Amino acid sequence: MKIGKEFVEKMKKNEAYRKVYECLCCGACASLWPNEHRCSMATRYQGSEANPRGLNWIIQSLLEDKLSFSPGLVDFVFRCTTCNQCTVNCPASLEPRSYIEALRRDLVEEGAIPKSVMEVFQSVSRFGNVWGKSKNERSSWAKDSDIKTVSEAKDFEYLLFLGDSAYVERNQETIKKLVNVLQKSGVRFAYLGNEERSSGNEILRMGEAGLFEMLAEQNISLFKKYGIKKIIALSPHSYHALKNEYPKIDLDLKVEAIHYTQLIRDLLVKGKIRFSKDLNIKAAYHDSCYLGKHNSIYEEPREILSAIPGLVLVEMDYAREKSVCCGGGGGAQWIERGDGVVVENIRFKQAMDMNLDVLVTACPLCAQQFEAAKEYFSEGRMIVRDVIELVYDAL
Amino acid sequence: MLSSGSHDEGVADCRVQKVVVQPFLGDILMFLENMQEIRRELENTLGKGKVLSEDFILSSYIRDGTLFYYPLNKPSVIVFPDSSEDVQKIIKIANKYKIPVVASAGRTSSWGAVDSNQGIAIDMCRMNKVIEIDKKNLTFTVQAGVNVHHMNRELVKNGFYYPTHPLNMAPISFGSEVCKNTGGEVGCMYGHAAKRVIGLEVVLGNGDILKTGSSRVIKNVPYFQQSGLPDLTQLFVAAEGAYGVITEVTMGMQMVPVAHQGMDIKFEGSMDGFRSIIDVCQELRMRKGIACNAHLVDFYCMWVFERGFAGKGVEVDGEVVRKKFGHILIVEIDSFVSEEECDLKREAVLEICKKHGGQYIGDEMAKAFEAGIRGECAVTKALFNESSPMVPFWADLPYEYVTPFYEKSLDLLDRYNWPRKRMGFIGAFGDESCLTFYFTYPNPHDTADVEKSIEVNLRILELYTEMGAIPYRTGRIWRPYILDKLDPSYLSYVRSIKKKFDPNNIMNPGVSVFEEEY
Repeated sequence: MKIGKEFVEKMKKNEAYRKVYECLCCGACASLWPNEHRCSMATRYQGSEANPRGLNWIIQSLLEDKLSFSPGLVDFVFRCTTCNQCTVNCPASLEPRSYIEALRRDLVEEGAIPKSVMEVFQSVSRFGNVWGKSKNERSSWAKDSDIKTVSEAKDFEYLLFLGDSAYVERNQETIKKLVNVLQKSGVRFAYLGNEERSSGNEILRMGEAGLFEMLAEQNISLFKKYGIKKIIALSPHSYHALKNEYPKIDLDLKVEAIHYTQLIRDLLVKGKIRFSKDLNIKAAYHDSCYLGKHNSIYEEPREILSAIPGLVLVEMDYAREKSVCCGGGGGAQWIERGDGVVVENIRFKQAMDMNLDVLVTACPLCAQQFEAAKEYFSEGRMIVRDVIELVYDAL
Repeated sequence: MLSSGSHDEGVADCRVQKVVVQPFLGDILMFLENMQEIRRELENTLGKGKVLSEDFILSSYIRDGTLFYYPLNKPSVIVFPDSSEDVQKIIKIANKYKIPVVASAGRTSSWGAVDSNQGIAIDMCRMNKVIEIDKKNLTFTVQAGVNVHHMNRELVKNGFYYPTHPLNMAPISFGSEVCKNTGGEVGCMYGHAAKRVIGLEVVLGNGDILKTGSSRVIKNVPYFQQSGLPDLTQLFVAAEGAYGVITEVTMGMQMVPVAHQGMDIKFEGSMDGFRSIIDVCQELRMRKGIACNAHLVDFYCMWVFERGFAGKGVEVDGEVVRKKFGHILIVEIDSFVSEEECDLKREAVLEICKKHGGQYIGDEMAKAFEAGIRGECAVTKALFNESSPMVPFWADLPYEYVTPFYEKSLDLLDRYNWPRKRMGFIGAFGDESCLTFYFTYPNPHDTADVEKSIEVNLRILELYTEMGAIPYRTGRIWRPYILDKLDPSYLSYVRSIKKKFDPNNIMNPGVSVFEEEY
């Protein structure tokens, strides 16, 4: 890929990039990470400046014509997982994620994209999902389930939006259990079946705004067609897109989106979910970035877990808004890893050191990442579970 | 002399009034010619994963906390040692090619302290192992790249802490603590790094590994501060990496206090009020141990905080702030005995403050400062929310000069038409020292404003030196202002040691006072 001077000239006119001149070099964007980690951008270059602060100086150098784009630099920009830690920490309110995403958008427009990212865009464009699988396989998990689609269901209150996790075998287990718990709790819901398309959150984060708009419009047209008013999202990434991004695409959209943990917590409070089994486990909850840092949902999963009999809930170090990213978001799961930081291993190791029975998450992407980390460490004892899986086990 | 420019066209360079020494100017071309070979040798010696030289990665090292003052040279290569032996190999290669070397970790140093001189930048972030926590002898030993905040999280779990922690969330390493003799905002009471450091391991500029610490050099004994052997540790404190690369640090730690209280005391927002605070601090200082920490936040800084807490761009009436807060003295009290002892100390402090016209107004600021110690950034965010400040000047002033310095500095700002709304002053007082922070807020997008701010700050720096200030760190910026004030015999020995430890002058050349000026 070749990025010429015109691209940088265009950057110079974009106000978003001028924010880098307000950087204090305080390092807060990376500092509250654990000792051995700086930022998820360090997955190839493990160094103190493989982080938003270093990127600020890189952008300054670009704007001042002291640096040219290179494939390595493009790759670096796409390593950000959009975990939002830099934005949460930055005392100068620079919101580094905003210009990282702006840079990605500009690079996508220029056609300067890592090959693996381009493959994801092509998959979404052709098949409506990030995995390159057929649209008709989206509801393959449901063949033994009695869940109804929105066209089959006579009466439902909620749409259950599953996102591309529906294609992932590990997450299909989570989905089946969520469906089961909702049914037992008397929740009236349906799903879009094979009509559903990817929520597009990662597509947007990776800079393909046009493709995201296409996906959003497709999904929104379905919401309108079926009179959807309330949506339960399985994944925090889908939740974030539905709640925060879709209303920007359609200003008339009147849909209430919640994450499933919010509903489950409410059902517990109302007594619609009752536990009968004692799980007898020690568990810690990992705050996923899109539920926590992006949307400030910290307590609902904890309240659910605290209500499960026999579950001893302990807090991880670096929890809530200080949570360490699993390394999968923002498109980073599709970027080839280098010799740098293995982000999911850091978090997984923290959990291992706590002698837990279960590492719990409420995000299918975190679950995938941690299952991969478990294989890496050949860790037999500690298992990875979604919140709903433990609810199901205790019913 | 550095040229000025505009980042609308190119770069916001700084304008430093005095000549900055660049002793490698002649040799830069020579080692740059050999750079490919040097990179290859580093890769072959350390392994490819420990050497980076892609242009954009090198560009990510062009700045540190010095910001606009001094545009750091871009390094030619960055290396990531994870052991003292790795560092030794790097130094050996650097000596072979006579290429400058500078080590850094968190890159929050300032005043041009970590300029690579286009040579080798050693990133210490992978030297991040905690080697030992000795609870019986109250010490801990870490590799130099360990983050102070992280270490405190670990220590607190065991009921201990390292008290000279900085009041912000920056990735400060222990190597940096020693190189700069930092202590953060609580260093004045509990001591700066010089007081806490027990011993070091250093890879000298000549490639030798030297262990220091009068007990650290005896095999099989725990680390104590006191022993009957000569201690070389203090040679490396505030040496800013000019003698060698610190690879291991042993520090003293202490128990987490049993009780802690804080209070905000308001004084009149005038010169009389300021003077009263200094009198209070002198009195607190005489009564050793009565308070662990005393911060003066002047009215202008309180105004900045209020604007910060209100939100970016929100106007706050200065006179309302002056009436509500005046100049604030934030006092923190620790007790290692009981809450009752804390109460007694508190009463005594309040009596002293009242005697000098102070009025207790609560503990909001004290709590915010204390939270900053745990990495909760509300205070720093409020301070920085206005805009990025220039690198604050930090200097230790004798107590009797703080008030006259403050008064003259305000006159200076007025002479230069720098609005007082865009400055702030914080003093950290203790029995160890009287550390003052002075900062101005330029508009980083307005080159003329930045240049004016630089000029004003350099005049403030001159004022500091005229009034007997001791630089908190020297770096490259303070050097020209301090050289002619130093005892020639002292300089001569400091430079002799430099020649002994670093015969080829590869270790951070140009920093501080280690070379002749030309």
